Amino acid sequence: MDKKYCVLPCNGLDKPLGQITRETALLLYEKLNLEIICPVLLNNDPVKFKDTFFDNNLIVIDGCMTRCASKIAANNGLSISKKVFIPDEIKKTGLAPDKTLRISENTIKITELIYKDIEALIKMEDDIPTESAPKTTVLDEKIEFKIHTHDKYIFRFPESGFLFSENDFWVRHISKDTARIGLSDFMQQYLSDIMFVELPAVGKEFEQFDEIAGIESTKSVYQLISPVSGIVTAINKDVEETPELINESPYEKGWMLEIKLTNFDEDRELLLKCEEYMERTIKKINLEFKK
Amino acid sequence: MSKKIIILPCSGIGKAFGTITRETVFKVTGELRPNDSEKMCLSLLVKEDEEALSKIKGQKVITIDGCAKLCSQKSVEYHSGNIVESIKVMDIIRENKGLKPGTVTNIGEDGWRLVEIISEKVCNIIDTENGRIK
Repeated sequence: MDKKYCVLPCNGLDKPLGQITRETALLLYEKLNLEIICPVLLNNDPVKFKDTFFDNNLIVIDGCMTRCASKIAANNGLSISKKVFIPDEIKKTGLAPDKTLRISENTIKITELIYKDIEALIKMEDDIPTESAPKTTVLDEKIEFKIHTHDKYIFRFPESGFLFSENDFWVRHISKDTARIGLSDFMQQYLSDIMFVELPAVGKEFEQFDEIAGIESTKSVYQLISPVSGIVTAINKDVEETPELINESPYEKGWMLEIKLTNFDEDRELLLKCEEYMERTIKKINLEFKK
Repeated sequence: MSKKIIILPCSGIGKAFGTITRETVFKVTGELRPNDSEKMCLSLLVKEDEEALSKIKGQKVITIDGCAKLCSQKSVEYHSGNIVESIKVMDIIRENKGLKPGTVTNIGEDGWRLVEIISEKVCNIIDTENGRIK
């Protein structure tokens, strides 16, 4: 196996499909030597796994519709390489799961079939020549959004991979030590048509919450308050030339800066995960976007 | 409201001690005290599932943790649950020197012996809480 993976299964304690989830993760550990991430420990102490996630692609396995493992990954801004949803996997096997929590021969059979499916997927990726299939980067991944509708306005919140400041800026890792920064969908809609963006020079160093760039819209002048500490390594020249890209595509084409992170472990403590940010932003939306 | 005592093991995946906490819970809630106890998935609690939160506030809880992070105990404390006992597998191992559990996938004879010892302890707590032992 060329590419490295780690596995984040759900806790899977109280349901038969949870048991299959756990057994599948254990098979991946036993046979392919993949590190298993304890979901609750990840939730409680994410820093412990920082290096693991930078060194490995992440496979998430959920056993029920609550999708605890996916949610924990999303809340920690993790990029998921493969999502395995056990109810779907069981359908593929054509076998019926037991209704007991104890591990039966039938459970073992189902688990082995699911394991083989995942193993085949991993091997298939390894077999693809690098030239024709470069390693997927965070930026190639499709962003999935939570949606909040308010009157005629639709607000998008990326489910995973992004952290937010209370000032409505986002930060998204693009490699171990670098990240992109941009303006949230809520703020770009609040500012309305953005007409002018002044970005800092490459090499500029700043601390978390420093004002580092200016944005002017038809409605207001706004400062980019950096959500993290770092050094500017690139600016989005497209945004300087076409500021409306921030309105059109705030999380993708409308990114503003790329930075080398200098104090992320501490900075992240003051950042919000998707659900927290969404909850706070909905309150702002109710105030600012009166029906 | 159910009067069953909630037995809440840590997630414990990836470690032999974690497997012991889970197996203990299956043994107590499934075999030894099915009418007096029930299990709860810790992920639901940490993800603040409404049903789990409501349940944890209304019932007695026994937490069982496999490592020093004490995820189960801390999660219940965080949500102001009523913990009647916090069991730490490491303490039980210290009290039973010589028992060495195997691996996460095969906890071995010593591991199963520890499951029995902890299960017995949990049953005693349940019986005491229910007034069967004074």
